Amino acid sequence: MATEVPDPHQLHAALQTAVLKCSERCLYQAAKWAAEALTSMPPLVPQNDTPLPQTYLHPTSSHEKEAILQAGELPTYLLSKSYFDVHEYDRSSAVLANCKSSKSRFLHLYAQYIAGEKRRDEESEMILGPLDTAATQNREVQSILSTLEAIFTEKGDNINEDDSWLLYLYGIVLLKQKNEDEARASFIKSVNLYPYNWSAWLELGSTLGNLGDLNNILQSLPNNIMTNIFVLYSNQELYQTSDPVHAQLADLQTIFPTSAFLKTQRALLYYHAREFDEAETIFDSIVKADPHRLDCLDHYSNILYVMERRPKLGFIAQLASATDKFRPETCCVVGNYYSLKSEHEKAVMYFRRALTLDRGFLSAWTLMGHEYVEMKNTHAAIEAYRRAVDVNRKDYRAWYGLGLSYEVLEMHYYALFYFQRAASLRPYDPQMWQAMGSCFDRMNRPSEAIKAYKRALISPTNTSPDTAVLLQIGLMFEKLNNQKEAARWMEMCLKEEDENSGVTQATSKARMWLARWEFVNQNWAKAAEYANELCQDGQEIEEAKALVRDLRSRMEVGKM
Amino acid sequence: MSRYLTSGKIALLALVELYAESRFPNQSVVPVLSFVIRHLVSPKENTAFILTLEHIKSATLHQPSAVVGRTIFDLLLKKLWEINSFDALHTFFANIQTYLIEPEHADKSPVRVHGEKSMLSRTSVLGCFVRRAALEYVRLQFHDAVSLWRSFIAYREPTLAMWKKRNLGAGPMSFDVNLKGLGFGDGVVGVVYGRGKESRDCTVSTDDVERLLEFQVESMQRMGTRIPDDMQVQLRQMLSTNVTIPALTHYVEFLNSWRSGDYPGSFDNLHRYFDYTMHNRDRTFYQYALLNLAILQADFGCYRESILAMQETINTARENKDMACLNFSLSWLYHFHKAHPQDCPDVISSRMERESLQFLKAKAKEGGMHHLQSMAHLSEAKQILVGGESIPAAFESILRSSHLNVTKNIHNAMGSQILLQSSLWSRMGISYLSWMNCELFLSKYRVNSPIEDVVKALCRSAYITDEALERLDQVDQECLRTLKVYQYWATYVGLLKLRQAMYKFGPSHHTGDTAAAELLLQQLSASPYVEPDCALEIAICRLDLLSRRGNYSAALTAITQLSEELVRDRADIYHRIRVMIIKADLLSKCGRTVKGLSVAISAATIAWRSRLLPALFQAFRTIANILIHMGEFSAAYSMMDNIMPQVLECEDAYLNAQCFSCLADAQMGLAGARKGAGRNECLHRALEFIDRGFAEYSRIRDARSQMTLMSQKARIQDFTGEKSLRDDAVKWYKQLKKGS
Repeated sequence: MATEVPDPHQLHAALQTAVLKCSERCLYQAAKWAAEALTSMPPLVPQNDTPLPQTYLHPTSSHEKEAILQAGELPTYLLSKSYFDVHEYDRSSAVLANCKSSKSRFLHLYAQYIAGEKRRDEESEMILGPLDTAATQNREVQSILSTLEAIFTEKGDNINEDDSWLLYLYGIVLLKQKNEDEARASFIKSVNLYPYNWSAWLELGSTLGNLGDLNNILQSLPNNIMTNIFVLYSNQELYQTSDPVHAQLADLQTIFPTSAFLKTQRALLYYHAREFDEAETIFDSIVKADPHRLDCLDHYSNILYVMERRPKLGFIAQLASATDKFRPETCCVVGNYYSLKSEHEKAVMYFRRALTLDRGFLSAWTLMGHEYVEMKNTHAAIEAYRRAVDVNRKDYRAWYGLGLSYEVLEMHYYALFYFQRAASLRPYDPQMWQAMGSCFDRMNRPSEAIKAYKRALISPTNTSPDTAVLLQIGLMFEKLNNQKEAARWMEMCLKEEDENSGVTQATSKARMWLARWEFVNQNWAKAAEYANELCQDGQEIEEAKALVRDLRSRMEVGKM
Repeated sequence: MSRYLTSGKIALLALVELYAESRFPNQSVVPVLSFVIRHLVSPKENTAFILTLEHIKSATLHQPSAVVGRTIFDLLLKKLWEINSFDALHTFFANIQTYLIEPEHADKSPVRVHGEKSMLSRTSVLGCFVRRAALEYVRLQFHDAVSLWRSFIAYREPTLAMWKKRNLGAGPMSFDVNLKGLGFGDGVVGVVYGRGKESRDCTVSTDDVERLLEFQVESMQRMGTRIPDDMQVQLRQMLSTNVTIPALTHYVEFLNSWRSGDYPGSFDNLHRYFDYTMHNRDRTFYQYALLNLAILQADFGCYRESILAMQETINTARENKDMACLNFSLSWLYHFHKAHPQDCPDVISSRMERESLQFLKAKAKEGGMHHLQSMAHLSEAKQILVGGESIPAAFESILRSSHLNVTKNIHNAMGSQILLQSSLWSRMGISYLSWMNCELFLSKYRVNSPIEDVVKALCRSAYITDEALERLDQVDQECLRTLKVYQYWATYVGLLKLRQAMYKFGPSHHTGDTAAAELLLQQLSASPYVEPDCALEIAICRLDLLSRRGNYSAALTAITQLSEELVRDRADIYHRIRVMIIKADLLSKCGRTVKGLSVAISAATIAWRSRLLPALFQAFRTIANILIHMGEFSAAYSMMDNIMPQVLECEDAYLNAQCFSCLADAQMGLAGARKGAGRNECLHRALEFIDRGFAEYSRIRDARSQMTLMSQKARIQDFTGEKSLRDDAVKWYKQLKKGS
């Protein structure tokens, strides 16, 4: 990992070139990212000795042979690019069919790929309609793959910076064929050859399933500032919210002080750590600085949703809709708003719209699943979650949602699997473990349930244990016929009540249990104490009163 | 954008909510609620198309509320300004529904307890309004809801100053709570609310626009007027907001171009309208499309096409069992057949004769179509009159129709009925009643009647009275915006002018102001679409002009042709008699007195049989003239003398004048036969008649006839030797000659 701070002039020039290179290869998102990074750096102090910036319009290749080829093919290339810009992908691809330079070959194949994607979208059925399966494939992939393989075998080891783009495309098509390892290798090669293509980094990130994967590839990444950004981004995506990550982010922000991207990463880190207020403040400042920016606004809406900030969520929805009604982010924000207002049909409509605009839009799939759960349409919910997981295997909410849905359908064994996946993504989230515990409980596996519940007690943010979990552990021990242990946990639960949480349903239940237990053990006085406390607490009064009466009569009998 | 909701409706909803919260003291409930309900139930009767806060303010500012020291308007302001974000608006709509009684508790009758939340029944006017508003809000897409919210902000903005008085914290940014701490310069505000806050999207909703269009259709279809140009511009501006415009607008366009006489435009728009409505009304409205087409064709004079379209209409209506349409088409076809018999194919003519009115009457009664039934009765009366049959029967029919109009409250049939009655009176020679009928109609039924009837009445009453042209000029120019009505009016004006021109004494002794008359006549006969009665008047004027110029042979040919046409078309008996009389006059002038006499006598017989008294007297006058020509002076005199009182009752100046001159002629003839005192007596009587005739002629400004009378007078005075009086007469004569 690169640690030294790069020379701002060099970085400036590199990013400037990257913007031009990406945009002339029609990688618009990467160009946008690079340009944003460029402008988020502090402005350079102009130095007297440097000449005025050269024209970067067509950054020539550093390799002479390639440069000559490119120069010869420039007119055709320009024609092809202009076709691409007006969305005539097939034509754009066809123009460059016989070109030899890497640049032209890339655009040729990339246009073909995009044409295939477009056709795939057109062939897909209505979102979650009866004929809508995730199976519709990009039919160009195979031919692109074979062409690329031919090119690489022809070149052998003789590859240079210009071929990084081809490697990137190679990775994409491999990924389409679910060939993740080779794809990852291809992306790593690509970013090593040319690190400023953010799209390649993003794709590389999408191949990482867990922290281990990230640690495995760290060694093979280039020594570049981009690697730092990538590592930070991947950590965020993998829900790592530890202090080193924050520190790394702070380092990067000294280089790109005004970067909205980095700010968003910070906000998302807070979001993953459930520190919503901080996340909200950061998003607020982003919105204020650039009201037209819609990127990641769906996450902001999730935050506001959790915080139940209705007016603000409505306002953000208004803002997004004023900028662009037909962006998936906007639709998600609006959908979240309607969901918060308990208008689930409308919410589903907007999520559906988001997915029609972009089938790979992860949040929308997950949120749609949530809506279907609310509407008691469990089967649809399962399908929506499944699609979310297919798009991105790192979304713990989708895994968790799948588990919950199966639990509703009383298919606990299934549910367990999904809770395990969710818990592996969020190992410190008690919610996951709790769900898993209850699953084990339902399946009559109390000892596993106890383990899961005990895991749920370990929470990095919340130091005091949850009374409900304590109660559950107690009940599990009861199931194991270990009454004493059970009583111990119940007492812990009551202790927790005194110290922190106050009376809850769980503690009342624990007290009731204890009262009964003492009753069975014929500890009348103790039982009466618990029962009387219960009558004061105001929960389960009737049962407690009956117990008190019973106790009195028995105690009178005992006195006599 | 929005179908129903507007900012004004939100304000009304807020008022309803205040009411449901029992914030109105008893004395304010009625005035405020009636204000609300007036805007909900009959918005058409309100002068304002858009309900502004100013209107609400004036209605509620002086109504105290249940809170001491606050008016209802204060509470309303509070309520409106508490909607301080898009989310609050959403909540407002969700909340308002909680004031509705749940269907399961509906059987318990709600008792209003003062100070408590009072529930609205789901089917009450307010309940329906609340439900509809809430439903419409749910239907809105997100961005539509946002634009409603933005228009609401703009709507509420003027009251900021008032709100500030009560609420010191309020500032220019307090319209949205999310903007706390921001200024107008912030980018966020710019993105969300736009820099200029220019949105006026939801000030009108499709509902309002529909109301507007329906009003236009009603005024154009029922009343037959067109909307003034500046108002049209205004309406178009209202429609140019981006609300969804209902297809009705094409119908409005169609009516507009139809009334303005734009033939291709009206076709285009009619087809467009039906194309756009096809998908939701399907073929069920096909017959109405055809019906409209048929009427349109007829209006533009394409009678053949029109008949074909109407036949198709009838067939389709029969197929679809649409009795209303069928009856209307049959009645229309009947009238069309009456008006244009020569254009009807024989099949239709024969069918019309057989089935005709009895059928229509029965059907209309069966279907409860009172308007049509009343019209059928009128048609029956008309038919009786045209055929010259029993007058009491005609009266009976008119009475039936009138009864229907009164009992069933059919305003717009009133015009036709009164007009028919007026023409009946005038045919019976009771001009005063006829004129009074017209006046009655104009003063009492003008507002609710089709403009065509109004103009007809105006023209007719103008024709009767002296200051005709002045009266016609008084016609509201707005009425004449419709081409057909304008043509009718113009024809009448032209006729009157033609008359005047003919009566004037022209530069040469015999011809009168022929040049002007010729020109007018040409103009009048050039217009292809004139009503049958006007056409006859024009033809008579032409004959008059020809005979005044002494071109008797041409006049004779013309009159023969005219009477043949009338017979062929089975025209009105009255018209036929008039032509016969003119023919008799012409014949006598040509010296074929015996033939003239026989024509005149037969005309008189028919006129008597049909009780067409003015025509009868005219015929008598002609007979008397012929008798005078034949030297039967005493017979002529006694005949005229006997009918004179009744003639005077007719109040027809022209007829009176002619009768007087006829009497004078008879006296002159008698004078020739007597000697001495008898002769002098006759001469003086003749002089008296001449004076009276002169007076009548001067009423209609017939200078030429006046001159003739004056020269007669001068000659009589000359004979009797009263020089000074003779000189006076000569002076008059010269003055008249100069004056013209």
